[in-house]
Amino acid sequence: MTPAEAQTILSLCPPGDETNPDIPGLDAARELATGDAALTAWWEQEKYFDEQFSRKLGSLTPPAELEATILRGGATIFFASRLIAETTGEEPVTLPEGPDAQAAPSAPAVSLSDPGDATSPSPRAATWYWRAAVYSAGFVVAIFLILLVVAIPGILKTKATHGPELPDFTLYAARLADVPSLPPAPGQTIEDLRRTLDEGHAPNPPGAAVLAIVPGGATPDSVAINNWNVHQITHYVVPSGANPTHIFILNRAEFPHDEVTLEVSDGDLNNYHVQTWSADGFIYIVLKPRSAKP
Amino acid sequence: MSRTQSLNFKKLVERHFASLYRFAYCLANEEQTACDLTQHTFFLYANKGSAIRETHKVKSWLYATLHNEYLRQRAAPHIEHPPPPPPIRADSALTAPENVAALDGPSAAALFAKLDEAMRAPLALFYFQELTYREIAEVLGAPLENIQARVADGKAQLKKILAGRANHI
Repeated sequence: MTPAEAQTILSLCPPGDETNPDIPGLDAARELATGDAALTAWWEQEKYFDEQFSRKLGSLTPPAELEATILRGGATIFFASRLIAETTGEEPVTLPEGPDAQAAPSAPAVSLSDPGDATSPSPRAATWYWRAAVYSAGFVVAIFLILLVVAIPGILKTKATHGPELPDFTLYAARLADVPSLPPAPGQTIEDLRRTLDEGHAPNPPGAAVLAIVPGGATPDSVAINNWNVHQITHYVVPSGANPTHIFILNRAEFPHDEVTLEVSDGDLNNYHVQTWSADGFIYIVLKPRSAKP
Repeated sequence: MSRTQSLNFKKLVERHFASLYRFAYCLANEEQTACDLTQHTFFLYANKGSAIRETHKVKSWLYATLHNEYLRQRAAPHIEHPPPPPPIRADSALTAPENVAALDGPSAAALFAKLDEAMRAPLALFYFQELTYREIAEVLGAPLENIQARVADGKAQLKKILAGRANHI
């Protein structure tokens, strides 16, 4: 082995790892460096370079809100997955429980864990418990919401109208200030929203945002929401058969509108469950297709 | 989402989002794109993570997904794995300590934009020390020897760029 070959091999050592087993010839190169003062000096400088450079890259700091944004997105996706599972009987998203989950408490009896797990109840039993829990929780929340709506009329002041440019489209507007906080009301449907829309007769002010959803779930890049486009809004598409669920997340601090208007370009919002919630300064809008149960 | 699911996801994000962001930043050299790539990677994990049966491969899956998404967004042609470069005779002058000490995080990451595309990902993963060589090879879908050749070649390029940068200052 020549010193040049030894340099190449030694340069492959990751910072702080001088015995990497994946580097062929490393032992011989180190041995050569031991008896070669020039090579030793070069390697010391190389190690210093690598450690410094690695440290510099490690000092790159992600934006403060990135982690929270990812967590919110994940929570929304899992929630939508649960809604889809409840409606269609599809399997909800199930994440692997790897080393990262060791500190987490064990899965509850009603688990989303692998159906093949012998410690879990059978899929049928889990589904039954799961539905029972959801319906029970839904009943309690529904009672609470009814009381809330009776006590505070106009909690959802929205309006149903026809879009001026695309007359077959149905528009809905919701005052963001009145959007209920999470957790949402299980079972809330577009019929509920339509009822409150029709009762509210809130004006649809100029500048209201418009979100357009095309049939089949694709969202064209050219859709404008006033001065915004869809790419400026966190937009998730959760696969669900032919009509995926759309989830839009608006940062309330950045969204310069008092109302958000939903537009469904297949002309019939009855094809979707629309749910809108707020949490931590963000507005969540979920359009979940109504899928026929298998 | 069950509490366990939520905790799993939260722990995974806490543990890996920063290093994934750094990897994305080195690839894209732009903060917003790096954020989008990182966020999209976890979005895909939230949707498709259930397909990963070997839990010890979750980390590799995240890096591979981010890298694939980066290539997809760039609509880059498939990167042909180059043949191993000839042995490199590193120039001591190029590794002058002051050249590295003068860098901060963003300027160090910005150097990756000047590297050949094929060198960026392996060299970034080499410096992050999150993955072994074998895992890097798996993430990038290339043989181990090829990855090591790209790391060696990338380091040589990096030093030349650094030296040229220092000469301009």
